[in-house]
Amino acid sequence: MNTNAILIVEDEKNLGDTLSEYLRSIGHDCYKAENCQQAREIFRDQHPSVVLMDIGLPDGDGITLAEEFRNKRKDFVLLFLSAQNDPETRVKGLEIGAEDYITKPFALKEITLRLERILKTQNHFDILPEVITHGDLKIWFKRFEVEDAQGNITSLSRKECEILELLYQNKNQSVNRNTIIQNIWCEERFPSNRTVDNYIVKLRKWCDTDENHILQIKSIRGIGYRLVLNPGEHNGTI
Amino acid sequence: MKDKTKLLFTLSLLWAFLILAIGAWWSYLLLKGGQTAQMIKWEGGTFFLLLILISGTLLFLYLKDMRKNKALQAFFSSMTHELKTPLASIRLQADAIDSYIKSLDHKVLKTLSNRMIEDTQNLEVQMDKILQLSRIEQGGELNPTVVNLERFLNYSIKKMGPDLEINFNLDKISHQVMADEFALELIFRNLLENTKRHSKTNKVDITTRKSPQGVELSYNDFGIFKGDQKKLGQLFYKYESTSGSGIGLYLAKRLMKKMGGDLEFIFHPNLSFKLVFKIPEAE
Repeated sequence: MNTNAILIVEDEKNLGDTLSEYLRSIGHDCYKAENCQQAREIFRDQHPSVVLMDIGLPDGDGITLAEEFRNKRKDFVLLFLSAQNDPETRVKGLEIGAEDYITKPFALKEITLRLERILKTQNHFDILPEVITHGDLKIWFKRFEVEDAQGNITSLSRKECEILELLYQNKNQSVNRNTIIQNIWCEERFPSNRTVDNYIVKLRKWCDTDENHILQIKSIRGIGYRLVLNPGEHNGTI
Repeated sequence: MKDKTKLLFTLSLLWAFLILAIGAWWSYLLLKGGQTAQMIKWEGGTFFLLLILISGTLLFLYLKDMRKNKALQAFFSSMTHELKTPLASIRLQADAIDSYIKSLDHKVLKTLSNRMIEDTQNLEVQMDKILQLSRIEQGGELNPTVVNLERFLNYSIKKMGPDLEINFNLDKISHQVMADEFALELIFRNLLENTKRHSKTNKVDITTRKSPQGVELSYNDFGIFKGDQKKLGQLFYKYESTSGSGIGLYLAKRLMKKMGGDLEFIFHPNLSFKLVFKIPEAE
């Protein structure tokens, strides 16, 4: 994977050109595709880590194309940029694992801040060990995957992965819900505490597959969560 | 709007039933025979035929009007949608210019690019209003999720009304409400736009509190409303106002209702707005 490459799939020439030229001018490695065919070629050759996808394309639709890309690779961040803002399309986009759904028109500052945050997290994952093992549990942060105690590999969403990483970096310490929200969500989104709880449920289920409870996510009443690392076999390999 | 269509449909059904009932009664009299039958045969027959012709014409015109309305709504919806992409391009170019000229320290260029960005934002709000109105009128739904109301207020409202003096008097508890983020933003953009246009002060007081109905948010911009109180919030109602489209408050009320809440107008001592939000079920 090209860790900083960005693929923009946008059929509106002026919009695509302005965005890609600006991103290049601030130092990003940026590629632009105006249709599905071009997008497939760039995705295959350049292995971008971020894909900015329009929905209405001349030779197909962005959601189907994004689904196709997701089936090939899990380790890229997907953002939809679309003029369609009906809830059905937004939900459909998020269901196939998009980080966000940004409606047109959008502010340049909004998109650059999000990209910087995404790439920062990406670089952060890159310095972590390839695989982290605790007992029978395994984590691949870069691949957005975990393996449970029964050997089943599950894909995590980017947010689940970021929450797990935040808890892991602060293991055996309590992490406030607000800290989680501030670190994981951008300031334009307004998730509730319950949203955070919903993400924790999946991570806790994965931890609980290990009968020895080497990793446990404990709720700290009125504060947030603590990832407890119980003594056991640990192995982090690069 | 939907209620009116239902009423019209019910009246049409009653009308059709009445005609059929008269037809049946006259048919019975005709079969019975006699002098009355002869009279009914010619006079009643002509009357009945005319009645059917008028009803048919009315039905035809009604259906034609419905089709025209739907086509117009679809046209505005797709047209607005088509305009959003070039608008996004203009906005992006204005933002890029703004970013490039930062290093030039050129005051005039800076002012012009700011105006350009502000105007595209205003255009964007108008387009979103038309799009949402068209969607909602065609039976479109929202996607309410659990939203942290205080977080939204602290971030979005300040960003949307930088030239307004907004005072928050928020409840100590952080409220979780059911809301569609996009609709919520559109509702507050409307309220702030109204404040800028119609209120003589640039002050806004926002208060939140828990109530038996859910979470109540009071929005008070100290505006005075002298028009017909019953008409406020109706589609296209603009009291002595030459600006605006007259859809803002109507849309805001419809969106609040779609999210399971409500928007009420309070007229004393001045015009203020009470937004009632539904809270998540388990809370």
